[in-house]
Amino acid sequence: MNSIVFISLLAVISPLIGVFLIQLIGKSALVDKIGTTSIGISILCNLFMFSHVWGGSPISLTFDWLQLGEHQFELTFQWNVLSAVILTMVSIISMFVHIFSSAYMQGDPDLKRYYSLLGLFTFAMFGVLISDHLIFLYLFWELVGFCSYMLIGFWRKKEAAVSAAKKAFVINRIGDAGFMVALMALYLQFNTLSLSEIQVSFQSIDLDSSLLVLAGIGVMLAAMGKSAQIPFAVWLPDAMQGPTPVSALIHAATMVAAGIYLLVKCYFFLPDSVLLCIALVGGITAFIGAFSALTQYDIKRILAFSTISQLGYMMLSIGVSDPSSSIYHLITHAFFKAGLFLGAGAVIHSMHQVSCDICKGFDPQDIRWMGNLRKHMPKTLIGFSLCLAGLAGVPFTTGFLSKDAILTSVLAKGLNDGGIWIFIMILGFLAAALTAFYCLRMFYHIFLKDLGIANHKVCQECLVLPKEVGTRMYLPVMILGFCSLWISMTLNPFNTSGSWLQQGIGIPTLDHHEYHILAIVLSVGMLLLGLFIGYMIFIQNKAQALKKSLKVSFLYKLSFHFFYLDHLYKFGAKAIITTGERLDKIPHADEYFVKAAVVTSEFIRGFDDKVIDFFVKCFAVGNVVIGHVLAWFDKEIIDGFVKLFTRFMKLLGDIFRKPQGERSQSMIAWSMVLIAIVIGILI
Amino acid sequence: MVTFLHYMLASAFLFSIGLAIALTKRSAIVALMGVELMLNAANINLVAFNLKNPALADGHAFAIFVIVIAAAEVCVALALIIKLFQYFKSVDLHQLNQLKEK
Amino acid sequence: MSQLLLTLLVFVPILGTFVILLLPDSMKNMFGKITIGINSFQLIIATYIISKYEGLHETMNGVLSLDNYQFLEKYDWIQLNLGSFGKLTAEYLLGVDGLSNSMILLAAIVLLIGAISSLEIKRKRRGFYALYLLLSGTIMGCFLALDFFLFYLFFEFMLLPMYFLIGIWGGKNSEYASIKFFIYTLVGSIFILVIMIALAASVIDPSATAVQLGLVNHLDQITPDIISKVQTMLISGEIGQSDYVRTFTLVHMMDAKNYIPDSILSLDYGATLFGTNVRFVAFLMVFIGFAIKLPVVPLHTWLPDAHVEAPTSISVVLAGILLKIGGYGMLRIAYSVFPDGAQHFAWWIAFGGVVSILYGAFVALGTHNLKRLIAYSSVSHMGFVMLGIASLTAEGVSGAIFQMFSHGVISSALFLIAGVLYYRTGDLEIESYSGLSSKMPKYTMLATIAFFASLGLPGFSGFMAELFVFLGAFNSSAVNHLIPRWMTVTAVLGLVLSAAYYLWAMQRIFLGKYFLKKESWESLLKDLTPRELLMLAPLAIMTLALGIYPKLLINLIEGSVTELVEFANYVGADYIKTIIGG
Repeated sequence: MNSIVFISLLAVISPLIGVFLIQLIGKSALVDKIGTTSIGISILCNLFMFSHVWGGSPISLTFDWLQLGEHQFELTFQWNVLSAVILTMVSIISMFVHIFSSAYMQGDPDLKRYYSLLGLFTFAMFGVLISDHLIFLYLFWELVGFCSYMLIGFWRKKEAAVSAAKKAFVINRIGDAGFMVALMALYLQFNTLSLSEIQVSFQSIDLDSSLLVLAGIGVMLAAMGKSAQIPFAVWLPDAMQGPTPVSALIHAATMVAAGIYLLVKCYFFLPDSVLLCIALVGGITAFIGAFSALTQYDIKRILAFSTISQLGYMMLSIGVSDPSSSIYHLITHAFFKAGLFLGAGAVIHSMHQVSCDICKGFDPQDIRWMGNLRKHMPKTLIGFSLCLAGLAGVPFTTGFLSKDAILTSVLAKGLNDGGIWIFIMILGFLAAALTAFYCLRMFYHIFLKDLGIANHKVCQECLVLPKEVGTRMYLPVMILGFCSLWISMTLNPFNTSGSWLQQGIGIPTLDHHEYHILAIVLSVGMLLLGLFIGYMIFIQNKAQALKKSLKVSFLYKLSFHFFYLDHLYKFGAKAIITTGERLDKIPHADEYFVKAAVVTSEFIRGFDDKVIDFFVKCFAVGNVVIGHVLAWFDKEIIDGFVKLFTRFMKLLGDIFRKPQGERSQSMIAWSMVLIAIVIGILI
Repeated sequence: MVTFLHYMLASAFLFSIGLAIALTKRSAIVALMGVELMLNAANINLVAFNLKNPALADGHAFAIFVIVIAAAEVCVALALIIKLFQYFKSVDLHQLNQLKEK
Repeated sequence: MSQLLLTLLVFVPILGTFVILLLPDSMKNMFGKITIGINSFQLIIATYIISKYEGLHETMNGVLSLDNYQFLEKYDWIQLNLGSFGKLTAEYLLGVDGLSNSMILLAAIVLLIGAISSLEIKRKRRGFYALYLLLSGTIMGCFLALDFFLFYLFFEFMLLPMYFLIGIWGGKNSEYASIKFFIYTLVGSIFILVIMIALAASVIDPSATAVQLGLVNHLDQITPDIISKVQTMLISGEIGQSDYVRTFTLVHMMDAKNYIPDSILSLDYGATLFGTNVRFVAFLMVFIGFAIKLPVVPLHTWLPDAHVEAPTSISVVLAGILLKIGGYGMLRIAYSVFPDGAQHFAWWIAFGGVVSILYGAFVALGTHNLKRLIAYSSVSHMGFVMLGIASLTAEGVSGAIFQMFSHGVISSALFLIAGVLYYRTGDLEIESYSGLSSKMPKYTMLATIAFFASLGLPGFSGFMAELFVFLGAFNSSAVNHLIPRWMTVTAVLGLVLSAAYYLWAMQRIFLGKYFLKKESWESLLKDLTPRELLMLAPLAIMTLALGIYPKLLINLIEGSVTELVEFANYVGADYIKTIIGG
């Protein structure tokens, strides 16, 4: 093993080593430092590996794992440009989350478990990124799910958190089942589950298109589960019950990226029909996610829905055959969304300080209580607003660049192919406008309007003004904010094709230059439209009547309840559980047999009693009559003879018995004598 | 020279002793011993008869069969005697006349 | 010494039974230790056997030869002269191959852990340990016997100790449960017995027949030529009925050439029963016999009752080993002797497997008793075994055996977990507890591991097993066209359901607010004792090790599985051709 492979491996294993150390040492004062250090080592190694892989050849590492029948399972881990980028991204964000957590989680009694799980989660995510063999990809994939389960339900006494964790895992499991189906189909088709081998034989062998479609749908389901696409998206808003840094790590930047990453990796074999499904799902998710974010009041829920919506964009991009833009957006989104979540964490943290004993009831995550934080938390403001600009797709941010790339492809596809693609295209652009709107709404509520808590009816006097958070909390937000500026990707703020990332990843993109200008115009137009409506409603306070009537409308409810998807799932789950209970309560089949046997036997007994007995009784009565006659005859005549005979026999017996004596032994002696006599006579 | 006749005589002698014991002793256990003697007398006979046809070892086989059965029978008999003792506090055959017609 | 290893494995525990029965009452406290000692001895021997076990060599000649078995012990046992019907022989034939080696290791491990767990038993200890050791011996015998008669003997004899162990030391309703268990298994045994007799009436031992015919003087001189000569003579009817040496040895039963022409189970006889060829009916009867033991859905109702009532250690043995005898018996007897029937009924077997997977999972979602939930999850997991076996592919059958091993380990752990609660409070209703994680952190951690292992989280052995079963079952649609694709795809839903019921149970028992049904339990619910930790930790490590590096187990079973699969595929197809053509 040469040193570069060793370093790459160290990058992956370092968080795991950190977990072991945390478990072994276990002093709560040290755990955050151990965790952060191990991730730090990962970053360094990853950067080194990144520089090596970038422009060079991929590194791979192969182990013999298993031999089964004639099939050989060889484990391959691979570091190529794509995984190198995401590896670095994940490790950096994980680092920020660790640093942020060390302040945010201070004083929690269970820090050991917390940092172990964070480390394990990072390790699992690394594993997903480097696995070339689908079995191991699946292994890490589910390990990611497991860690998210443990982290969402980290506060184990909080019922809502525990339920959310369960929901996340079970819904992800549906996707995993799809993944399993994909594994089966691919194995049947290619006789191997190593992606690189599949890629090689993909060109050379005859393919069964139905199997490929099955595999494609399976992979798509898997990605839909992990990347929270409609209709599996319900777990993501609930998952915000976990600690906020966890939300930043898992549900914004990394875990949900796994689904997109998988699709990009499997992109080469996805048939067109599956791509259409992916685009459709992506478009709908982008729209519904943004639509549902419009009406939420919980800051983390808004962000969750915006994540869903942005993930929809990434899916959409894959669907329109532009996976490189998808990865591009994945990276930019990871940075600004992590920044947003950490910023939200900072806001929530400082809102917590505001509450006193009297107004304890208020929810520090509710944006209606916030406001005017631009004065109280200026440093957070900078980072947060930069990230928000990225999310909304304001020019001069990375978010604009990547979203522009995606929308260009969508536009090209829609205008070229027509049909349903136009519908998908419209969804994509509408979602952009909605995004701008809810970003402005959030910004207004948090930073611009007057402090909502000041209007709290009960508690006016005790009010403590929110304070700026500590360095360890606002610094990551600011850094992530600056990363969202266009300069981190390319020099030209309006054209992404010069971006180092896009060039480096090297996935061929469609050439759709002719639509590029149109796309920019359209997307900026959408942005302005959204911002304008937002401006009118929130800042100018226009259209109050419209706002009120909207609030009671069906659309509002649809948005607020996320299209009632949750209710649907609850209904389904309840139905399943009730079925199970019924099945369990059915008297067992064998008891039916026993019952049938008992009933049969009772019937037979009844038959016996009634029918047969009747005949028997008739017969008996007749018999009795005859019997009486016979009895007399018997008693007097036949019995006379019989009795005579017995008398005779008794007499005979007595004659022989008497001499034998009373005792058994003498009887035997007599019988012996008699036998001897008989034998003597015979002889 | 031991001839066939000698075996017969020994067997008859043993049988007579067994019979005498079985018939005269009052203790159930001793009577049982008498029965055993008789069985063994029969065994001697069986083995001796094997001399007539040595090729087939059925005499020997029967003897072994009888021994096994005798062993089983003794088990049962002893168990019965123990139970009788527990019930009547005696194994005197003369007192065990409950089943007898009065 | 190595000639006697397998006998030791079987008879040392049975000897132990007598030792315990004869020891004076004053040594009451030693019984448990003696049992643990004997079971440890079994584990040592089993480990030694596994370590010395060599994979199959290329040079070995096929499934039909005794060369495939290692540590072979072969003695004449019963020889009954039937006069004009020839001779009936049963051999004392023990051996190890890829189907059984993992099972004896599993049995040894689970029995030892069960023995440690039975230290909790306070009532009538002499009887308990005596019966437990008897069970230990017969279970081993069952996995090692290569003669049908011997197998059947051990198979039946297992029932007796099990019946008493559940009935006497069980819970409130244990007599009902034990009788149910007994009758169910007995019905299965009768099916097997009928077919065993029919087989004995149809099959001859070619080498012993050669000796009988005077072709050779001694068994040592038998060569393949002579065997084939006898087989040709058999087919052409040159051997008189009085020269037949009928046998119970499984290896002979597997070879169609050893069947007496026009005997009831020979391929060309062509008799039908219920409109189906007798051989198919025979396969089905043996299969149902073992399916009851496995259990498969319509025949499973004894399992939840038996588990709920049985004491912890017996639940462990029952779930850990006894169920596997069903799966093992299917492979060893039903699939080996009747490969034709196996192919004929593959669709139905796979269907039964899928139904078991889903039905078990559904019901587990609806139960409120922890042990019942685990019992139904066992039904669900055994469905994977059925599906894997039905596929007749190397992946599927390896997956099935892997699943048996893995389920043995995991379900033992699960029942121990349930036992921990039961030992402390005597209540297993899920609703009686909540939020135990704050009070019993170690217990929660191990329960989490066991639950996630059982729901098939990758990295644990359960996942590998399920993966192989799925791959095999799906491949079967192309390799031998036995199982349609939709069936496997449907079975995948089991993954979702198993996650649902385990996590829901997890949430209700361990998470949320701390709550107990009775306040008096507060003082009883202590975290795990070192003894409990000692039992659970090795199981957790084992399932983890096998999940990450399945080669440990696959290497042991792979050779024999491949041979069996080839045999069942090719020879089975030939047999079917003969049956349908003739």
